Amino acid sequence: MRNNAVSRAAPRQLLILLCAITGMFAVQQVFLPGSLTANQVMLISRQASALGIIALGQAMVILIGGIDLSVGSVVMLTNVFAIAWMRGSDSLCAQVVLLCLAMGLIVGAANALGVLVLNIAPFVMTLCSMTILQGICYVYTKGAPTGSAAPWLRSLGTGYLFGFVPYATAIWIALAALLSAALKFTSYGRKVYAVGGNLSAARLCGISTFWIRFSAYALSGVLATVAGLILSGYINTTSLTIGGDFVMNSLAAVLIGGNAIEGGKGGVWGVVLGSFFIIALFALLTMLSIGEVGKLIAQGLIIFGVVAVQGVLRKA
Amino acid sequence: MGAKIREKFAATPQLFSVLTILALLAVTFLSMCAYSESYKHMQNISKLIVQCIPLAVVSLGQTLVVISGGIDLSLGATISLTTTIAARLMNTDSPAQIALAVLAMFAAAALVGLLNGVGVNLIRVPPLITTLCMSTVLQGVALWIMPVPGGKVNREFATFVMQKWGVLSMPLILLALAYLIIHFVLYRTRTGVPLYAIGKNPRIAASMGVKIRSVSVRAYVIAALLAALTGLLLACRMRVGDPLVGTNYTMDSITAAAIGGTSLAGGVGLISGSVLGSFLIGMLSNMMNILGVDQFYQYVLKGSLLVLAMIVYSIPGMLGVKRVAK
Repeated sequence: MRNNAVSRAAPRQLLILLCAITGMFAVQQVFLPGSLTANQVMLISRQASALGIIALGQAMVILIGGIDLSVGSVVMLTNVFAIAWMRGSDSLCAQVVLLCLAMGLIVGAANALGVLVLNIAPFVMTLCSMTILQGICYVYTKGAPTGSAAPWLRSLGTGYLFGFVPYATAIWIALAALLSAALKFTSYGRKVYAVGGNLSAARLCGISTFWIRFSAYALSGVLATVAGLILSGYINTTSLTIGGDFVMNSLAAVLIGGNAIEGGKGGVWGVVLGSFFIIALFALLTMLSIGEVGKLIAQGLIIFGVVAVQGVLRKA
Repeated sequence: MGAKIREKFAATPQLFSVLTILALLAVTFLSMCAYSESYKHMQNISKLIVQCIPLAVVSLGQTLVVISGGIDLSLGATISLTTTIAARLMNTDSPAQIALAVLAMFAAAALVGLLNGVGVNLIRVPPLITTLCMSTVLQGVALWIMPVPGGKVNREFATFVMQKWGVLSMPLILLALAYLIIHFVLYRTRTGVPLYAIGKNPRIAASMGVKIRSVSVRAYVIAALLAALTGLLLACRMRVGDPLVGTNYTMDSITAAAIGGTSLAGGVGLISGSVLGSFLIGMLSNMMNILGVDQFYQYVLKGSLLVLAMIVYSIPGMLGVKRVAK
């Protein structure tokens, strides 16, 4: 009964993703001999951690049958406010981090209330909050952001655990493990799958569908904030384009990971690998220095190809 | 007569949302007329309508795809691509070459739609991924054709496409034509009902003898063709090509469809709602420009107003549900 139907489809897709990632590293080894080292893989994983953490939240929202387009703006909002409030010193760091997390929670809760209470389609509701949050960032910074991160946050974004694994990667994997355990081994996880699989059946079974769905949106907001904090520490400045591609890339990562857009199907580790795959692909295309046009075309074709292969094997 | 109307409403509850949007549009329009004398001049109204039309055209196509149970994230990139094609090929005085350029735009779009349809239906990649990847590739191609905005569109042709006669204008006529054709396709041909059916439940549709793949491919092709029409309108308005001009149209077209009562789960939707939805989006930003709202505050206001509009719009929906329940 342990989520059999849910997890059985996954291994094959994970295998294909692993093959694709190995293939990319092989290409890198052939074209740029000597560039592939454990350190470089760790660097890629640090770059992937922000997208990975966001994609975890996105995966939760997609699992319950919604969609969250506001994640990119939450990252931007966190970036703008965390750096503005910290003023480059450690003294306010803890409060600011808590404040930012609360902010992410509020955004997630607002999304959830719009979707659940006001009956606005998730796509429209989260798109609206995306626009509103962007506006708030522009208004607050007047289009010209300044400031720098606190040393503590900087070390979080750039430091290494045991001198080898970046903190960002460690946080990402820890969060993924937590989420995976929650989905697999707790009644909460089973309820999430139930709600995503069939909402009315879940309600008839006595599951509080409101709170399950509410929690998914709230979690997505909080996780996007965590990603925003890590990114802020990494880039050490405010950027109004920081949120840019996170929405689309997180959706792609979730779907590449084998989760179904209709909800109710999928796991966590596929999403982790999916995020890593996307960022490793970007990194490889950048390292091969093939120019913007070729990069875009190759990126589209390769992602499509990987998902196509997954689909073919799922049918077989 | 009354019974007939009631029957119609019971069959398509989305009519409520269409009427609500109509009311919202009227309220916005009347309050703007009260605010500014010049607002109700024919010239301004015509200009306002022309501004909203590109989004309305592309959202028509998006609505078809969404009704069929898919989603098309490549429409914006298709628009960008077709404007760059137009600007590259239309820098000429010969009518034959301009006709050829128009043909090339629509052929490219048809190919894009076909590939989307094949990717979704034959290779069985989820629509979101297929069209997202297509969007990335098309963006690359558009940047290859034209790395920065440039090129030129023949002046006579551009003025011909953007011609105005009072409130009437060529873009409006094109929109009306597109609307009538889609309306005909949806309610008078053998593509229409199956389109709703495959969006609602593809398995049952298939067992009833619907050729799912061909119907779905048709939706993607029509959507891409309408995006090309939008590209043509934009290219003629700007008279240059811009490889990034379409970026916002993808999300806006989905929003317009959703505002108009189209369910993103598929199988439910009215094209009239999408057109009105895109006019609502256009009118809101036009209103903020006239009121002189700061560019940065416009983001906040636009989002809040849309949420407000959606709340207003969900009220009759709730009432409608209660009425049916009684």
